[in-house]
Amino acid sequence: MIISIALKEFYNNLVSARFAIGFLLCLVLVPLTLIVSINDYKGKLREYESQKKEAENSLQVRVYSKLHPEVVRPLKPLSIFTRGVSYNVGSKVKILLGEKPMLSSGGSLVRENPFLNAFFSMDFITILAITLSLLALLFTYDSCSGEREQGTLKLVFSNSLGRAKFLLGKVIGVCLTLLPITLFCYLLAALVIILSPQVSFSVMEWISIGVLFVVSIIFFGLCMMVGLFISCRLRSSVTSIIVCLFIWVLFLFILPNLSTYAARSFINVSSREKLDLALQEIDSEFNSKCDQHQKSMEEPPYGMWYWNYWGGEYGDYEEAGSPDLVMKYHWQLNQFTEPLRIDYADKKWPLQKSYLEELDRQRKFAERLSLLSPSEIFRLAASTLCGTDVSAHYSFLERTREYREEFIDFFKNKKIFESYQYFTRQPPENLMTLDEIIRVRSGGLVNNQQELSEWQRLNKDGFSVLFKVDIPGSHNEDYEPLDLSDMPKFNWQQGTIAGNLKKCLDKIGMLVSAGVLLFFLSFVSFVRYDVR
Amino acid sequence: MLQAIDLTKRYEDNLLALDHLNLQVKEGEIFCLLGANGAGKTTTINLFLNFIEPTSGTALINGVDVTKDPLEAKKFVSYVSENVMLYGNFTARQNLDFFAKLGGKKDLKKEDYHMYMRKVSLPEMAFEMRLKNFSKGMRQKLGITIAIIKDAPNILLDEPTSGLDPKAAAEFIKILKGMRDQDKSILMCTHDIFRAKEIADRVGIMKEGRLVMVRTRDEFLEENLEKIYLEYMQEAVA
Repeated sequence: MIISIALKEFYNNLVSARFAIGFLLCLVLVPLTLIVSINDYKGKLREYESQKKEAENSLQVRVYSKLHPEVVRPLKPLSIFTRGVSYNVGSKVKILLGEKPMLSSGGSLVRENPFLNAFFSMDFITILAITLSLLALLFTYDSCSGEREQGTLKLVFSNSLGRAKFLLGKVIGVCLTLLPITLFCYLLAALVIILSPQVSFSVMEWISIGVLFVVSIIFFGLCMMVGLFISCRLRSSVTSIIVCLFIWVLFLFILPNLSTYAARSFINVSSREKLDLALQEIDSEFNSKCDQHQKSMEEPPYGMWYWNYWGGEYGDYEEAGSPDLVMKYHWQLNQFTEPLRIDYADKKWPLQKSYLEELDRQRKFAERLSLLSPSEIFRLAASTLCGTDVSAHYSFLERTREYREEFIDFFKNKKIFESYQYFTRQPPENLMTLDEIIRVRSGGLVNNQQELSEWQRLNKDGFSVLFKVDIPGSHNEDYEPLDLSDMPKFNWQQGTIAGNLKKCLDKIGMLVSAGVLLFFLSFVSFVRYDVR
Repeated sequence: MLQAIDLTKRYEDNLLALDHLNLQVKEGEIFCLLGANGAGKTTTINLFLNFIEPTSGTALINGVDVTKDPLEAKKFVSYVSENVMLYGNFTARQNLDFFAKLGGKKDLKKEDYHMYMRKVSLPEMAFEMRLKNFSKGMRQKLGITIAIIKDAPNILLDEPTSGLDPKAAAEFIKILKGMRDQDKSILMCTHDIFRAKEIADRVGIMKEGRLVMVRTRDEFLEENLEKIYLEYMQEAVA
């Protein structure tokens, strides 16, 4: 009997205008969305390739102080299906001694023409959430109220038919109707992907899409239950459709926006400027400690005399051709400042961590509130399955922090801070005294600092006399980049299907439980439903 | 057999729609319930079909209490409403197939349905026609076909001939007579005193929820049913 009702429902839906419209809608929307998504993915891929090149370039350094590896989060091809946060949070992290990685950098820019970003585009899962929920509601809003109005409900229940069987038959019937539409959407998506030469999916990714398909079915199942419940509560199909459409707008548009607004209103996050100021204060403390130490150190008798010196923004510098005492001074200074820099990074971390926790608290609040909307649950579950969700990004950031520790260990194990190679490639045994440098460079014209001063005074000249003869190896450019083959490589194990599935099981569970609960409530309502 | 024992229905708004109805429709009998609008005829049918629950009393179908075991009771009853409403997107045969399965007849073939439709004089061209193009008369005939296919021993009819043209109504009555000959118990609610007179074995007149008069065929033919009916109605007006 359940099968008879299901088949009747299926056939009745199949010949209805709403089925044709739904099918047509998917036929147009799905390829269009995927083509736009693939195009955006290609843009993001270009950005990723250029970031990867920059990361490779960041390893082309001659001294360790200038070594700040950049790590780039690989792009997920499944982001074509659902972007999650992956397109908005950046994907590049610079590994620094003086700071633990907090957030990734890199823009959300996808298109070559940034002004095109003003036009919004939706991913496949968003389109699916909109169309499937709408179709599910359209196919169920009049399940009971419509049949009552038509008068068929009386005739149906003049037979020996239980109400649960009738409802179950209805549900199966609508499932049978929506299943081909959903399957069609996914097959169409698969076809577009197969036909796109720039996109290639691994077996695991195809399996993920399979799981996504199952989650989509669970999602439209829940939307069906919403429609069914409303239909069982109301006697008029006009009222049913109005209520259904209101709920649809509420779930898809109002709740997600309201949740972010509420999170921003109720969960306060201290400003980034405040954090930066606090970090600057710690940096100042670090700098003053370094200054104090520097003052306690004995400078060379002739002062800090540099030949070839490049400094950078993260305390990095590169030096060559300077006198042995200057080099020694730096060598000694580094042994104090660099471990202290790492200590101060640890000192800054609690502030950064608390800021991150505040951000996460706000995000969690918004997420929890948005869980009132089945479409948001579906989207969150889908992004978890595709590895484009926040937790996947967190795991990437966590891995960058671990990598920084590995990087520091590498420095410590190799005793880099105790090495001249931290700031110069000149072998310590080749370092010359200042007088030697003056004599060689002037081609014997002046033999020491005193003679140089005298020459400068007489000739009213600066240092041109020191450019007569070049000393090989006294320029930074004379050296090849460091061989970093023994440096730890950054690797990040992206979530497996099983792992991702496990992470979103709670959300899938919510969809299933809400569906079962709504079916139960529909049944309770329908038992008392006046079929006349 | 259909049986109402002290069947009473008082709605939530305190309206007493049916007041201690006692009624029995035997096998091979057509019992026509006559009465004005709101007399309680349709309420009686709804109670037999368990669409509403009685305030007190019992409705029995083939001895099964409708309230206690509605699914079992409904196995023994067919129903034809004033406006037989079926699925407009389905053809006549598809509608019959669906309701036949609901009625427990699962092995019928296309030809069987055609045969049943011929039995009620539905035109051949209507067999595979969508219901949305059916006239009321054709729908009523299809409704009775559903009842015939179900082959239940009891049939409840709620104003089945209302709105039918005389020819269609006559054909309908003929079908009902055929069913009575098959020993079905038929309870028909109607306003149509002439049809009742033509077909009924017994007639009951309802007024304000009460069955105020019951006459056998011989009695009402002898006493002039129209006159009795009008007298009761006038009393109601008074």
